[in-house]
Amino acid sequence: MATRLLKKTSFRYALNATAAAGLYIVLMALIDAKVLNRYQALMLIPIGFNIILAVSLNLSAGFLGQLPLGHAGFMSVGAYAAALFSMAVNLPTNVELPLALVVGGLTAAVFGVVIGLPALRLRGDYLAIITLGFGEIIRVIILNLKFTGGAYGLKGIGRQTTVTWVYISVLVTLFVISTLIKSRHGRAILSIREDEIAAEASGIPTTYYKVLAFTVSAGFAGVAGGLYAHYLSILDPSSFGFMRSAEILVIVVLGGLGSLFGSVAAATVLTILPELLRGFAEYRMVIYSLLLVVVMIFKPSGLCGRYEFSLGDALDKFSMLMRGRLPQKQAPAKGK
Amino acid sequence: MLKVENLNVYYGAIHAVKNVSFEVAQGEIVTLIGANGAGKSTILKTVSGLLRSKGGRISFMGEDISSTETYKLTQKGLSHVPEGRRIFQQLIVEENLEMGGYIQGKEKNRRTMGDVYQRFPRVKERKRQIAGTLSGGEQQMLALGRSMMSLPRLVMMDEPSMGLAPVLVQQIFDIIKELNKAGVTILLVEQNARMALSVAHRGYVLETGRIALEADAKKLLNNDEVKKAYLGG
Repeated sequence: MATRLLKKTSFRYALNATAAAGLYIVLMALIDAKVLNRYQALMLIPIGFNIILAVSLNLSAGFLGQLPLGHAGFMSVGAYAAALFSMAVNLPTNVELPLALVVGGLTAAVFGVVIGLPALRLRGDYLAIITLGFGEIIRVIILNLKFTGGAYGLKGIGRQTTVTWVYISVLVTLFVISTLIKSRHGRAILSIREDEIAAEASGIPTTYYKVLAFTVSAGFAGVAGGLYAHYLSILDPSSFGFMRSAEILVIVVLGGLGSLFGSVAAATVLTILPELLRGFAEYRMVIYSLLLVVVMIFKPSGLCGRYEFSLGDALDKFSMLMRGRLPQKQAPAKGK
Repeated sequence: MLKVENLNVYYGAIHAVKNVSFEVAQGEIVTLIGANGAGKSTILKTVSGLLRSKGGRISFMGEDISSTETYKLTQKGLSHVPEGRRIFQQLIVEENLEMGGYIQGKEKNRRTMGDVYQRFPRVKERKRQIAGTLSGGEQQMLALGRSMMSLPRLVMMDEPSMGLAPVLVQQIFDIIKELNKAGVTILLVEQNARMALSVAHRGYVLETGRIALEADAKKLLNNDEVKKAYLGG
């Protein structure tokens, strides 16, 4: 099939890298040219960490099929770890922030293993309850510890999060998680979602994969937490309550469980929407809930279902259309 | 090859399998037949580690496997085709097979997949299709193919004929016979006793968690009690 030149993996990597760089240049140009005002440019940062939170939660909830209800808990662990790290060391910003994010991510991942191992050894939906408990416990612990600043919160964190760092973090998250899903390991994770007993009977070490996916998911929540800490420069345990976890879950479900593209789109829309609706700030949650109800009634699989956008595929189709040919019949799209 | 001695399994307070002992020798097709709730599936699930026994010994190739995890048994060459096919609905057919051969290397996997496609041409035709869109018979073939991908020495099949049209049932049993000729030992659990006994070498009759009878398959087919209870007169 000569028309499918773009199928080559290396070419697709180059294509995606170019597109990512291009988008970055466009964003920066828009900011420089004041097309996006300062306030709108700053909005890009929460959009970014909401994307990271949603995409990472989707790995566990959508691809592994295990529902965690304490994503904000892992975010808070990452946020505090990253903040305490950057407050303790004194390095140039462009070294300190990435290191702090790595520290935040790794700390959250360690918590992920500790929570995941007992919960995921069992078949069934124990993870939801255990992570729900974890989210609350970690909040109360942070509230009562001295070195986290307790209820006063942690102040004086360097305001180091920039659009560039958020953009890089989003790219890394998307790259790692989409590569994982498309690999053999990813198919093992999907097969657990499809049928855990059959996966185990096929020789797939299900506990290992469940803990792996959950840990990666928790780790990236920690990275998002680190970005959050260095964006607000103050941390307050009450901002990591259950409502926060629920908000992230809403993004994932709305975008589509099992669609990274959906998570990115929904995170963007649902971060901007409340800002657009500033006039009705107090109705924000009402609109949120209504939106969720409406989507669940009319499209229960989420806005994007399990659709994934692929630049290479899109170009393939486009080039075939240009040559006046209909795209050849390919494998039917996944999902319903 | 597989030896089960004095196996006891409970569901809570219910004693589902009572002192069951049986054996499967290399190269055999052995069938466990019995009515609903006799404990057939429970025995298979216990052997494959999905359920845990309370007392009794299960050994495979001379090794005690009573507390071995399911996925490790697959590495030892014991494969379980669970009841109701349980294919990975949202994955494509080829990915289903790939996951079946998870424990094999990539290279070996490709060769085995060729063998499986040869044995199941229908599955090959649909290799890029979402597995959930296959018909019942095709799904059962896929489930068998997926199990073959791990290159097992012993395959335990739980009700492979369930919910299939008679012509497909015949096909599935033909495949079971072929697999056996190719050197795979088979432990078959079936409600379709006539079919199971016609392909098997030996059979065990289970009644409410106990083994009531053990004999050559031919003898069981002609046994009056078995005829009356399981073969419709």
